[in-house]
Amino acid sequence: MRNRLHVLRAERRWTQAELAARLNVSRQTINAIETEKYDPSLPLAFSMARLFNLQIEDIFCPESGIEEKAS
Amino acid sequence: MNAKSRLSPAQVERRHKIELSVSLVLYAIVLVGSIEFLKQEPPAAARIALALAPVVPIVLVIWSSFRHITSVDELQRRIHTESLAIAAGGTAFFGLTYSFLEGDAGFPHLPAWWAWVSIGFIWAVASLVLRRHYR
Repeated sequence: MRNRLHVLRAERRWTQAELAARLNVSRQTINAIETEKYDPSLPLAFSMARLFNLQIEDIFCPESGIEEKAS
Repeated sequence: MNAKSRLSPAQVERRHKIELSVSLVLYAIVLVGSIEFLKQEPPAAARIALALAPVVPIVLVIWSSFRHITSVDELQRRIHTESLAIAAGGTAFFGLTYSFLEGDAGFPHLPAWWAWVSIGFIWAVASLVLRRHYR
């Protein structure tokens, strides 16, 4: 799954550690999500959406969704 | 997300290190005490109790590890559960393979506690590899 977490975090000038602290997860978890090695659970995705005041689909997008948008 | 615990990931790690250290120190003390008392050749019932005594602090180690796995965040829990699955599978494979060598090829008998060593070793190595993968 693709995501815009890195961009959203950079816009707020938060470090990975700061974002991790706000979500009560480890910095490694944030890094793994940003590098798209790990897809978060729904509860964590909802927490992220709430934190950024966005909808989940504004942050996360399935690979096929991105391809459809591009074509 | 860390649903079960309100502690931060750093606090969860600190608590686990303390609990694990206390359990292991307790294990070492009970093990040494048990060996010393067994040297004095106590009656049969006491021998069983003394032989089983080190199991009590091991229960604390298992409880501490279980509490840790259920308290860490979701990626860490995935790393631990995948590592444990690899350790269980690897130990079962090693145990079965060695039992054939022991039964049919005359290899020396391995005591049952080797399963504990095998699970711990494979769990640690698999955790390291998976941690690097998600880095």
